[in-house]
Amino acid sequence: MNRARLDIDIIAILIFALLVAWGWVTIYAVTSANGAEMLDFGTIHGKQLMWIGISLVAGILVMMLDYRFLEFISYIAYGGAMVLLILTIFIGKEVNGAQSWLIIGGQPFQPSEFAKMATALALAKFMSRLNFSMSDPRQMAIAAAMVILPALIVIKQNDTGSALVFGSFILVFFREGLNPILPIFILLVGMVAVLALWMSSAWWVVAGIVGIGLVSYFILNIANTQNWVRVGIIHVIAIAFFSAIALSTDFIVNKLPAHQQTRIMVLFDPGIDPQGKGYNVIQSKIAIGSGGMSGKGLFDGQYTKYKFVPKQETDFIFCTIGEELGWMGTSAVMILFFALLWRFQFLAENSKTRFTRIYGYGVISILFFHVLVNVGMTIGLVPVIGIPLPFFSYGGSSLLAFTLLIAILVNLHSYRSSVLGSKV
Amino acid sequence: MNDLHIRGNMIMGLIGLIFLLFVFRLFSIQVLSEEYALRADRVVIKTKPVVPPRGNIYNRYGEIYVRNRPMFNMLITKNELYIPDTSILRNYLGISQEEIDQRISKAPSRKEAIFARYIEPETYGALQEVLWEFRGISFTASNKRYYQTPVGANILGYISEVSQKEINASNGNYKRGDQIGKSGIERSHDSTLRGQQGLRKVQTNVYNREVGSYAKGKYDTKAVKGKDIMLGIDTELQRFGEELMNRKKGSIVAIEPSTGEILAFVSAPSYDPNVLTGKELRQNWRSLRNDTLNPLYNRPLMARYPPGSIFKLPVALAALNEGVIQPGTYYGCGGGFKRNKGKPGCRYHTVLNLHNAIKVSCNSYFAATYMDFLHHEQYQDFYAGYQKWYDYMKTMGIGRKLNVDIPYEVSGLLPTSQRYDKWYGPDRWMATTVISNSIGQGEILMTPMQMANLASLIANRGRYNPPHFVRAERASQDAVWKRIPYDTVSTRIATQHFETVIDAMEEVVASGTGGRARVEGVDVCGKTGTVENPHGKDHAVFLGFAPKERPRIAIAVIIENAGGGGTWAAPTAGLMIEKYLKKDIISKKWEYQRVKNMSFIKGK
Repeated sequence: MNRARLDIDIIAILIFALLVAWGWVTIYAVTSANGAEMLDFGTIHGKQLMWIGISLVAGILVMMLDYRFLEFISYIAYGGAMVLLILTIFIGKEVNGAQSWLIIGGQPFQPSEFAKMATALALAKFMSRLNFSMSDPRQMAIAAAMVILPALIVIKQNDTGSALVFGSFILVFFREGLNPILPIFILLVGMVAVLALWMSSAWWVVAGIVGIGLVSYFILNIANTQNWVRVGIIHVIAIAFFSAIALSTDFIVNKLPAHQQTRIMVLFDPGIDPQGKGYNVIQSKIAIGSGGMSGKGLFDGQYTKYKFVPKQETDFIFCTIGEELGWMGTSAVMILFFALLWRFQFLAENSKTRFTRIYGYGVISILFFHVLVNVGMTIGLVPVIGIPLPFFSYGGSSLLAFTLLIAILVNLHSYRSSVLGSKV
Repeated sequence: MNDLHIRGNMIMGLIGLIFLLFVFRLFSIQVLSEEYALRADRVVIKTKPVVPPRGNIYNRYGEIYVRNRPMFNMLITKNELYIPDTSILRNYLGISQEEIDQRISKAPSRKEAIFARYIEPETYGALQEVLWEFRGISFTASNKRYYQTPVGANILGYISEVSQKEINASNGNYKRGDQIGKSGIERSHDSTLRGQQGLRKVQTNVYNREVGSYAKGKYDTKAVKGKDIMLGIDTELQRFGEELMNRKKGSIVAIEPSTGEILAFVSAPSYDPNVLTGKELRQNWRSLRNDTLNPLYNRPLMARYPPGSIFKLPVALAALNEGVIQPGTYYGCGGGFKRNKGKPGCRYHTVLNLHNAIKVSCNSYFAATYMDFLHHEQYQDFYAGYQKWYDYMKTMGIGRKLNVDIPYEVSGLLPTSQRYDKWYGPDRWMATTVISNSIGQGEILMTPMQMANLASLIANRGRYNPPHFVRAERASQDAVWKRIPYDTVSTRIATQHFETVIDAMEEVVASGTGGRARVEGVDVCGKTGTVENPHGKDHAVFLGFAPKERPRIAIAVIIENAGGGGTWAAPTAGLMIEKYLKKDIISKKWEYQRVKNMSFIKGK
């Protein structure tokens, strides 16, 4: 069963190439303040160029693999990733408080980056089994466990940001038929908690509105009940429930260690700790905000160049784009990412196997979550969580992992015409 | 199944919605809001003052007298401050942890404030190496004065950080952290020496370190270096005078009569001007302030003494010019002024003419002269007579400020008739009431500077240039010195009267009370004085000039509690004259040892 070469999706690869190239130029812009040579492999941009080369070679190699082989190694990859993750807890190297790095042959390497890919593969394999059903609680539990397990290990590594990425697989489950009530309910609880923190004293208003709105919607429209006494009682219970959530949020946050508390509260007002936890957000907003419509010009971002923004070549690299290329630059990056995700959705939906589709949505979920959290934090919409911006943030493991993630999807998709069968 | 297909689109819709929200948010902070751009500029672009070097001061021979040592001040901005390791600050700046904490807590939160002053260039260089991780720290250039010839502290004064009061009074010329002259030349010529601060817009990185100019310096203003000043002071003579006045209280003022330039200005006891510089300034100033001998007190300009017998000279000059006496006028002595019941008292002299009266300093003669002046028939009444006499004294610089070019000069005391009226009642006083004025022991008080000026105007036969320190200014090392003109004041007293008095003064030194002022080969003219001091031993005074023709130095010496003017003040003046005219002590070596080693301060 040979694949038709033309089925390799050129659009996806083109967008990917654009993002990688732009990413490297941005890293060069950040480090060019030191006036370094473009091809000096001792510099950050030099190293990144080397990693781009390695990633491309690895990506091409993956493209050559047979899709059945990929399916075949899914569980093995997953198991291997779990072993590496656990190993990292014991022999890993600590960077910025997170014990998430392994040193292999002198090169630092972050297993959690690959664990995401392995999880997406394994989940795709498990959920594409013929007898898999979303309505079977036992099978659902196994699928959920496959996601929760690596998340727990990564939390143990003290790398909360990477652990949260696994939460994004909820989108995969949703696509495959998970009852939306649960995620919506969780989302609501989360919203109430956030609003309770934000509005502090007015938590009961928030809880009341959400409670009444939610209950009214379900009871009046779905349940179609005319028993007003019952409606009233359910409303009271709902309000009490959300109030309790709001209250306990306050309670729990107060129980958290002080540094985590400030990290949460800084989201609402970076000014409460301008030199500490709020510093990053204030500085990154200033850098992005000072870019204006078209920016200060490539390589001319003084604010990022003079290191006012911390971690500017890794987690906060979006600031350099914002400052040097302005809103046109940042919007273009957002559009490119959206285009890539859209193309992936197209690939996923048009694939002929469940395996490819589920894996495709896994890729979408992971990429989307990274962009959401990374860009969100630089503009103060999401708490500061240290995860990289795909293709832009400096880092070998991250770039290699994202490249392989995409290479696998494009590879799987390219067998479309050679796989018999219909969509499930 | 169709339902699940829609879910895929719902997911993309959600993603699209969130990305759209981000793009809107980006539009609002990047395009709609000016705030972030302004904040970025404010943080990156800083306006820094450029402190020009303070002008140097030179002595009358154009040799460097006061110069600068470049120093640095460390500034902190509290709300940007990040200190990873305080031990670096402790070790390099030599301050304790408590001191560090205290200085930080005192600093305002947003504005730059001085954290440490007078950091040596070497320390500054070393600090630059180790401070790269620190945030919120910057440095400014500063000057520390270095008094190359450490003499004349009371002339030069000192510089220190400007006070809030001075900032408020300066119309925005000074701001926090600037230096200002606090006394002496440094104060009176601050605007000349200081130059003009420039402003520089610079780009700074997160560590507040400069990384380049802004807009290629388009908005910068240049700093203008302070002007150099040349003083009339002969630093070697000044040093010599201070050596002579060692362990004594008093003053020496020497003036070049032809120009009014002050050659030496000794205020004893004094201090090393270098102690009032740099880090130790405050502490040293406090201990000088608490010194019971008061070395900060500028005696030549601020101390007021009854002039004693030297005052007979202006009395004689006024009387001669008014025709009250002639050089040949004789008065009897009889051991006291007979017309006023023997007061003031006198040694028993024979009948004397003016020449001999000056030579032996006869009190009776000048009491008589003074009385005849005030009650002279050519004046309408006694008041008119007193006013005439008063005017003569004023024109000779007595009882008024001479506008010397350093601050805190006092005017001495020359009472007006109204003042006497107040004390005694109108018409209830007359010449005999104020007869002590004739011999300089009455109400009249003079500063050593006024005495020296008197010597200078006698030497000039009636004219004087107001005494001053500053001879010339120049904009830079390459520019030519520009002399500062001073107007000549004339006393309108006829020259021949001066010749009469000067002849007598020559005799005073040649064979009279001022014999110890003699200098071999030089015609020294002078007059001794012994100032009665109700609080202790008399003060010794000498006033004189040399040589007699074309005088080059006029001098006044007053030594507190030294007794008769002939014994200590005259030799001191003689030594100064020899030192200035011969550049060395040749004929007066023995006097030099004698004066130098004598002390008139108890316990010293």
